[in-house]
Amino acid sequence: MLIDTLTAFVATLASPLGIALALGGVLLGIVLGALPGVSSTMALAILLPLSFGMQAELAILFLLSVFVASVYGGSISAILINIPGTPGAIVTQLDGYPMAQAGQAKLALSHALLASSLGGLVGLALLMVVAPWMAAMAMQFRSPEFTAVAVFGLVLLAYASPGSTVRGLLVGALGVICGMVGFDLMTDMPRFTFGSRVLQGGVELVPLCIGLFGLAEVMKHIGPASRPATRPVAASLDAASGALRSFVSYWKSALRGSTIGALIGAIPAAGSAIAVAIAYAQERRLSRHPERFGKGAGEGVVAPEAANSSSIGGTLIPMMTLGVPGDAITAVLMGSLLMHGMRPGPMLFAENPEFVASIYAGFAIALLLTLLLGFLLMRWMTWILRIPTHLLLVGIALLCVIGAFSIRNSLADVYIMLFFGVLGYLLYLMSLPAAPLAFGLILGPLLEENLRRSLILGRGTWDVFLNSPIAMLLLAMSLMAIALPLLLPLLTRIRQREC
Amino acid sequence: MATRHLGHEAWRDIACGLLFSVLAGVVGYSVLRDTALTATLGRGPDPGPAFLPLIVIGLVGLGGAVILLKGVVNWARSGWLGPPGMAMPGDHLHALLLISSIALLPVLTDWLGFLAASVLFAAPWLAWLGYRRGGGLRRALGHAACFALLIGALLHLVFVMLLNVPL
Repeated sequence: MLIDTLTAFVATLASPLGIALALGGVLLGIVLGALPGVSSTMALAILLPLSFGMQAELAILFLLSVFVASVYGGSISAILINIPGTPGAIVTQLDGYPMAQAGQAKLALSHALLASSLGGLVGLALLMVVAPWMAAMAMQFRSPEFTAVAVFGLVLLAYASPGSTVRGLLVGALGVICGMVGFDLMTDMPRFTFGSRVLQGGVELVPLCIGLFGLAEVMKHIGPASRPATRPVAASLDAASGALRSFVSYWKSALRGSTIGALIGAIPAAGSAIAVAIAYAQERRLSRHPERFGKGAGEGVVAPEAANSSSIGGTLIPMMTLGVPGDAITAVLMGSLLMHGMRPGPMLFAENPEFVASIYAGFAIALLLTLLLGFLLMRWMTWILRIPTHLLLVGIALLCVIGAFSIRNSLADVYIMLFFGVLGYLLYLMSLPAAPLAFGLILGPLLEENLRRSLILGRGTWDVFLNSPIAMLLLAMSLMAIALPLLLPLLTRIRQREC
Repeated sequence: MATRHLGHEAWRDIACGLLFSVLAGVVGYSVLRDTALTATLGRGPDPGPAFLPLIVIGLVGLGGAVILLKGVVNWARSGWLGPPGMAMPGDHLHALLLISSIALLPVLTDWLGFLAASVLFAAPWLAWLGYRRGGGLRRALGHAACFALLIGALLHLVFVMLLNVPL
């Protein structure tokens, strides 16, 4: 059944238009991912509006192509100029750059590309195996369980955000409030509209993401872009002979990295940065020559790149099965699905199995094209890094405005996007994480709707939660996640006093 | 040195605390002022549309107050050090100018059409940034004119002509 659906969708997506969109997405993803300062999240947020007019299957193919390619793109600047293009490539530079310095830049890029492709395949396999099973399990969930899932997701996403958990949670709570703007779903009463007709329609996820991850980033970088350019010189690209043979010798590292990345990526909020750090540490621990790490060890490039790419499949699991975004990138991707009338969650598997299959097929096509285009473009990689930053920033700022406008052809969305751009910049100035705001907007309505339904079911009492072991487990874990960062320093202080 | 660090942290906490407290105050006031919303509280098994907002706002307000208090305590411990000088004021000025120019863009688009407005938005920014990056004034102006036209035309082609966005 799944094979038939997949075959049908490969045929649809492999149409000339589908291939052209995927190629365009891969090209844009590699270029934007390679540019320092443009993260995968930002790349996806600013390119999201291009997908509005597309058929849902083609839109997801285009966006997955950008996503997959930008993850590989991040390693290019990490290897060639020692600046990671994306946070997930932060570990790749430790051994990639020394390899490039030693005249093996092309070999390091080839290793990164091959590892990225293999990792992506492992992530896809995990997604295809685990997602239907998890969705079937989530089908048994009722309102109390979904309330607990929303609370757990919010807490976990705030926990994994940089900085303090409590501040992350407070930003998430602001996101929950943003999700309540407009008419209440159950009573049709307006809330937080401040008498404005614009706010009656609520806050859409897409202008929030464009403002928070696009415009706020441009605001951060526009000042530094006005200072004299001091971009490091990229390492020259040598001829890489025997790259494949050399990569094959690292097959164990690639498989280990892929497995770690896929499993960690599947934990909501864990994200690729944690996956690559663990994959690198594990590889170093298992190596017979740990002293080579940090000086140009091939395994030091292969394992984290495989983990980085395989975490994509992992992060898609909670998004597709529970409607909980795995990280900021999947939150943006979720915005696109909602724009196309697809609500991620267990019902997606029951109501739109064809669309789920098109995600698998789109992912596979994106991986294949990234591999092909990555090898074809390898000799021009240093050119990408020469694109002047200021040119890019001005273009992105314009793209943010047009993108926000094109959601509903309304100026209101442009001003909402501007508001969140400014808020994102303020959060950055106060060292507060911005991503929980998006998570709150997604999970807030899920939380409120299910909490109220649960209380109606329980006739106004909270016993419904006590009667559900899954809900109790998730709520207890959420409480632990909040309490742990507060209690740990206290326990350490008590222990130090005892000593 | 440690006292100065404590003072900086304290000012950041005060700013954070104020942000959360003010937002909670504004949103809380909007709920409590709305009698139709508050009247739904405690009626029947559905806790009503004001229930969760009040809980969330209460938590944000409480969190904001605690952070604000922590900031004030640390400020006192630092010997009431004055606010730190703003790091990179030029960067914030650029960010502010960017937001202001973007806010003007819809007005310009209404008046001149999207293509001209986008060129008018992009050219001064490209010229200024290009000049500041050390390209020389004449070169920066030339590049700015060319690239502003190119960016405007490309966006017009993609969004207006291909995607039919009524800009």
